[in-house]
Amino acid sequence: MITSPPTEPDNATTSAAKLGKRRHSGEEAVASPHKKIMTDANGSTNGAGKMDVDTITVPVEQLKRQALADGNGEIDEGLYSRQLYVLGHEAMKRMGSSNVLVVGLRGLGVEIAKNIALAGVKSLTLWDPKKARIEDLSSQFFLHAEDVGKPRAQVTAPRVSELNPYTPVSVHEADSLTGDLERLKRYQAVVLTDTPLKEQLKIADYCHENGIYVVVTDTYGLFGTIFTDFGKSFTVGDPTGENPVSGIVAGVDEEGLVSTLEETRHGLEDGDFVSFTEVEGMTKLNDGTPRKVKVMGPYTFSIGDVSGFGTYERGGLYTQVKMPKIIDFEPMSTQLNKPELMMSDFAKFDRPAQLHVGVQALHEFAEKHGGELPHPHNDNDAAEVLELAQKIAKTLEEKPELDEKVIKELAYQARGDISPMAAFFGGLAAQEVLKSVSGKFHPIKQWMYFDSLESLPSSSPRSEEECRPRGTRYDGNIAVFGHSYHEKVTNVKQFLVGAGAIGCEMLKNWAMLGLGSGPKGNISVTDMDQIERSNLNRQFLFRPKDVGHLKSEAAAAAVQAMNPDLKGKITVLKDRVAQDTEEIFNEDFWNALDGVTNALDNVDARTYVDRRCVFFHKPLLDSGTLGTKGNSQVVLPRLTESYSSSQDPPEQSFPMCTLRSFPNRIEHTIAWAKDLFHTYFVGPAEIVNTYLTQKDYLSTALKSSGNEKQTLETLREFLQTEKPESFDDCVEWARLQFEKQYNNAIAQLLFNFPKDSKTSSGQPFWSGPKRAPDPLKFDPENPTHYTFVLAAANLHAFNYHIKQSSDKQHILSVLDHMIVPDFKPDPGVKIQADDKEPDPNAGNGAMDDDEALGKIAQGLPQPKTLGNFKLEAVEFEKDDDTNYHIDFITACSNLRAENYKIVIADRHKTKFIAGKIIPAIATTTALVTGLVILELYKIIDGKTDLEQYKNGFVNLALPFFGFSEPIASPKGKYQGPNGEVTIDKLWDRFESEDVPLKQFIDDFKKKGLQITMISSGVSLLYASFYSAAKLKDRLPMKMSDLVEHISKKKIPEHQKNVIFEITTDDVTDEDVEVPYVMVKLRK
Amino acid sequence: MSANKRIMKEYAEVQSSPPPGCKITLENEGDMNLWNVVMDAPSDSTYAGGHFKIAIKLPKEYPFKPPVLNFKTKLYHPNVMNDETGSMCLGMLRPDEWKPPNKIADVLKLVRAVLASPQPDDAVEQGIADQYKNDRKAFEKTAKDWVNRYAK
Repeated sequence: MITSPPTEPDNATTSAAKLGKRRHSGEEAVASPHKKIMTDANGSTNGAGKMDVDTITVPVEQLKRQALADGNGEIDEGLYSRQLYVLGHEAMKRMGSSNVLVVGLRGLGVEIAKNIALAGVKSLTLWDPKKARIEDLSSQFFLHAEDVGKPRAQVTAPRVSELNPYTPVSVHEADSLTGDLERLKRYQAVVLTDTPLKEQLKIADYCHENGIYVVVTDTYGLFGTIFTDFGKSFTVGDPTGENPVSGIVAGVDEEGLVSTLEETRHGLEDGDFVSFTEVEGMTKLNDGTPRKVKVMGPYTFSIGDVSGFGTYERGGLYTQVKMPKIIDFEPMSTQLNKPELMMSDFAKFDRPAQLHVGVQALHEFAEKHGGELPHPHNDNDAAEVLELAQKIAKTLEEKPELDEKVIKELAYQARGDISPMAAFFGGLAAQEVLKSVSGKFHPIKQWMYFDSLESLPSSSPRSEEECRPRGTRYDGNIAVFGHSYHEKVTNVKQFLVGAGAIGCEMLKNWAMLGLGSGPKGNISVTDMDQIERSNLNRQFLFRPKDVGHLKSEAAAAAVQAMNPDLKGKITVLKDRVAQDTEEIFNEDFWNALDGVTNALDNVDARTYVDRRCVFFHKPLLDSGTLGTKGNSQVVLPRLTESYSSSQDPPEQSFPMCTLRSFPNRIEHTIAWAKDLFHTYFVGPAEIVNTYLTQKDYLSTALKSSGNEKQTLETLREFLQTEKPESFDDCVEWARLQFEKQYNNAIAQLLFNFPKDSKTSSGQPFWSGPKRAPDPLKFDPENPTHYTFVLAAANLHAFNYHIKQSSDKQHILSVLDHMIVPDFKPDPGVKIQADDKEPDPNAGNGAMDDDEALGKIAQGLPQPKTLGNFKLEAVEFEKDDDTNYHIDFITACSNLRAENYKIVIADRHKTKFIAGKIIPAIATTTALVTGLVILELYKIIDGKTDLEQYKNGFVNLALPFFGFSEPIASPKGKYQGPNGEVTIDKLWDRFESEDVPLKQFIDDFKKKGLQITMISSGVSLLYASFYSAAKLKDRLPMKMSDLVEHISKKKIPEHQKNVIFEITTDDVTDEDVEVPYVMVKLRK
Repeated sequence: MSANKRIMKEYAEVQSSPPPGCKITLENEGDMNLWNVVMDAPSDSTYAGGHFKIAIKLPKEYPFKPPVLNFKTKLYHPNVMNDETGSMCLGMLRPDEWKPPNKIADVLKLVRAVLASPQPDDAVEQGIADQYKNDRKAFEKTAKDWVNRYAK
C-alpha cells in the first residue's frame, strides 16, 4: 500500500515518544527458552511518485475494520500470530502508532525496510533519491536490472509495500535530509544507511535533542557497524522477553532467606524482583511489594530484612516481577570520540575499537574523493585509509592499536556489498528500531561492530584484477571475494531442505550470490507444506495470492524473478525428506550434491537429514530460531560433530499424577484440558467408527488385553445412552460434563481428602504442590462457564453431524429448562477423582467382570442396523478461530484453574501453550540466515581448518552474540591384531557385502573385533548370549534376509544398502565403541 | 552413542545380571524398544507370591526421556493406576526427575522397592492410598485377594 507520508508531525511525535518511554508493567510474556496479507490492486506508484492517498488507505482501513470485527482488537492475530508470541500485544500496539524513516535503499536499507514492514508499524517511509546502480543488485533484492538509473526509494517502495497491508509505505520527498531537519519530527524513529558521517552527525544529534530514536548502520564487505541513540532516560519495559519465573515457597526464615519446594531451581538472578502470594504466617509478604532478590544458591534466595513481617508458617508462591530499566544514551557527536562498544565476538575483543576508527577513516576517504569509497583491493587507496585511520586513532580518548591488515581489508572491501552482511545488520537494525518504539527488549548500547574475515577465500586468488567490477549484478560480491571465487559459487550444487521462514531468507541470499546459477550449478529445494496466512508475516517471498500454493514452488519462482540467472537452475520438490521418501531422495540425488542446508522447523527432520549427510559425507548447515533467539551450526564431513551429536533438553512434560489430581500451574490445567479434548471429541468417535466399520471388532476388542471395559462403556455411552438427537441434547450433555468435571469430581475428592486431612507423617495433606480445590457452581452469566458449554456442545454436535449453533438465547433457554441432578459424595466410593472409575467395588470381590461386560456388548446396537451412521472425530487445529477447539481448551483449562485457584491464562496464551506454537519474528530469521551464508562461503572455499568456522548463538533481545568453533568429531581407537587402530567414531564406517551372518562375524574377528550384538533399526538380530538353537537358524542367513526375517518387513527395492549397529570387544576383551556397518545390497 | 547401542548394551547387561526378581525378554526381536518383564514380588511384601507382568516402552528419545512402564497384571497398589494402563509415576520415572545415566535396571529396582513399601503420599490412586493409611487390614486383604486372582 502506498500512502502519503504521515502528517500531524507534532502530535504523533509526542504521543509515541511517551508511549515508547512509558513505564509499563504486566508486559505480555513471551516463550521461555529451552522457534495475508492482502495487497490491493492499487498497490503501485502512479508514475512520478506522487502518491494517491484516497484509493489506497481505504483497503487498509477495511482490513483493520475486518480485524476488529473478528474480535481480535487492533492486531490481526491471524497474520501476526507467531510474532505476537515474541513481542506481545502491548509492544505491537506501540509499534502500530510509530512512524519510521529508513534512509538509503541499497541491500542493507531494503533489508531493514522489509523487516520493519513485516513486523508492522503505523507507517514506513523510505528516502534515497540516488539512482540505482547495477552493483546494487548484489544485495538489493527488490531491484531488477531494468531499474538501474531510477531513484532507489521510488522503485523500492511499492515492492516493500506489498509485504504487509497494515504497514503503509511511502517515499520521503526531499533532495536532502539535512536541508530541513524539522521534517524529521514526523518520525518516531530514523534509520540511516549509506549516509556520509557528517550528515549522520547532524541528523543523529538533531534527533537526540528532539526525542527521535536513531539507528545508524552500514556494511563494508565482510564488515559492518551499527550505532543506536534512543535518547536520555529511555525506559525498557522488559529487558529480556523471558517469562517471569515463579514457584512454590517451602520456607522463609527470620533473615529473609527463601527456600523453594522440593529442591526445584528458582531460576532467579541477583537483582531480580519477586512478589509473594498465599504465604501463611509471614503475611506481610503478601502485600504485593516487589522485593529485590539476592541469590544464595540454586534453591535459595534472600529478600533482605523481614523483621516485623510475622513468622512463616507454611505455603506461599513467589512470582518474578519485571522491573523497567532506564537507559541513558549519549548523542553521536559525544560517542564518536568516546565510544561505548558492545562486543559481538569475544574472540575478537580488540577489533571493535579498531573498526570504530577504520570506518571513520573510510568516511574521511570518501569525503576527499568525491564521495567514492576506496577501490576494491587497491593498495594505494588502502594505504591512504590506513594513514587516515592512524590520525583519527590519535584523537580518541582511548587510543586503539591498529592492526594494519584489518584496516587494509576494510579498505579493500569497502565497496563490497554482500547479502549475508545486509541480512545480519538488517535483522539487527530492524530489531533495534522495534525496541526503540516499543520499549521491549534491551537495546544495543551504543556501537557494535562485526566482521567475518574468516569467510574470505584462501584457495581462490584475490587481487585488484580479480576484484575489479565487471559491470554485472555480482560486482558487490566480486569486490570482496574476487571473480574466480564468484565463479566457484555459481557452480555449487546445494540442497535446501525447507522453504519456510529460514528457507525464504536463504534463497534470497543465494539468489544475490548467484549460487548455483553457473553451468555446473544447481539448487534443489523441497517443502511439503502449502503457504498459510500466518506465514506471510515473515516468509517474505510469499504474497496473499500464494496462499494455498506449495512453498517450494512459490519460493523458487520468487527468487528466479529476483535473479533471472537462476531460471532453469532450481529443482523444485514437494516431499518431506524422510525415510519414506528415500526413493525420491535416493543415492544418486545425494551423491550429486556439494552440500546441504537445513531450513527446518523440527528436530526429527533435522536429525534425519543430518544422518543422511553423515552417511553420504556431505557438509550440512543447520540453523534455527525461537523468538529472538537463533543459532547456526556447521557440520563438516570427517572434521566436526554432526547435528545429532549434541541434544537439546527434551520437551517439558508433566507427571501424569500431577495432571490427574494435583495441578498447580496453568500448564498443568492446559495439558489436562487437551487430554479432555481428546477424551471427549477424538477418542470415542474413533472407537465408535471402528466398531461400526470393522467386522468382528467386538470379539477382537473383548479379547484384547485390558481395554475391553472402557471400550465397551464408551461404545454404550456414545451409541446408546448419551447419543444426542439434536443440538439441544448436545447442550445438555455439555452442561452435565461441566457438572461432572468441575463440581462432582472435586466434591468427591474433597470428601475423601477434606481440607484439613493429614499425611501419614502428620503434615497437612493439602500443602506444597498440592493445592486444595473447590467445586464450581455453574453460572450461565459467567463467560467462561458459558463458553465451556458453547464449545463443548458444538464439538459434540460436530461428532454427530448435528447442525452447530452459537445462538446464545437458545442455549441459555435449554440450560434454563434442564435439570441437573444434585451430587452427593458417595461414601462407598473410594475415590472418583475422575471418570475412569477405578473399579471401586472390586475389593469386595462382588463384581463379575466378564458377565457385566458381556451384557454391555449384547446391548449395543448392531452396526448393520445403523446404516451409514458414523461419527466424525475432531482433528485439532489451533489456527482456526471459528472451530471452537482453542475456545474449549481455554475454558476447560481455566475452569480447572478456578477449581484450584491457579492464575488463569487468556485464550492467546492458552493457544500458545496448547498449540505448542513456536514464536517467530523476521528479524531473527534474517540475521541467522546471514550467519549461515558466512559459513557457506568457507565450505565452498574448502577450508579444512576448524578454527576458521563458527557456530553462532544469538539473542536479539538481550542482545547477545556468541560464536564457538565447531567441536571436532569424536575419535576412538581399539587394539587390532596388528596394533592400535584409530577411528573417527562419527564419519568412519565399516562396509561389507551382503554375506551370511556367520561370515559377517568372522570377517570382524579378522579385524580383531569380536561382535557381541548386532541390530538394524529397532530390530535386534544377534547377541552372543543367544542360545545355540536360535543361532543355528540365523548364522547361515544373509544379512539382508536376517533383517527381513526379524523385522518382518521387506527391504524396499530402491534401497541399496542396510545399516547395522554392532557392539564389539577388541583383542584385549575391552568393550570398544566402533562405527556402524554398511552392508551393500544388490548391485 | 546411538540410542540403539545403548539399548543393546543395557539389554545385554540385564541378561547377564538381571535385577533381583526380574526376568526380562523382548516383546519381539523386531522392536528393541519394547521390553517385557516378569517381576516376582519381594517375599516379605504384601504381594509375596505374585508374578507381575510389566511392559516397558523406551521412547524414541531414550535415554533422554524416561522409559514408560505399565503393569500388565492388575494389582491393588496406591502407586499404580488401577485401569487398563497400569502406569505409575514415581521418582526417577517422572519426566522432570529422569536423568539419562539412569538405566532400566535401576528403574526395576525402584519399582520392586515400591512394591515392598507403597508410598501413599505420592499416590495415583487416592482411594487405595487412603485405605492403606487408615485401614491397613482391609488394604492387605484386597491386595492379597488380587494377587491370588490376577498374579498367580
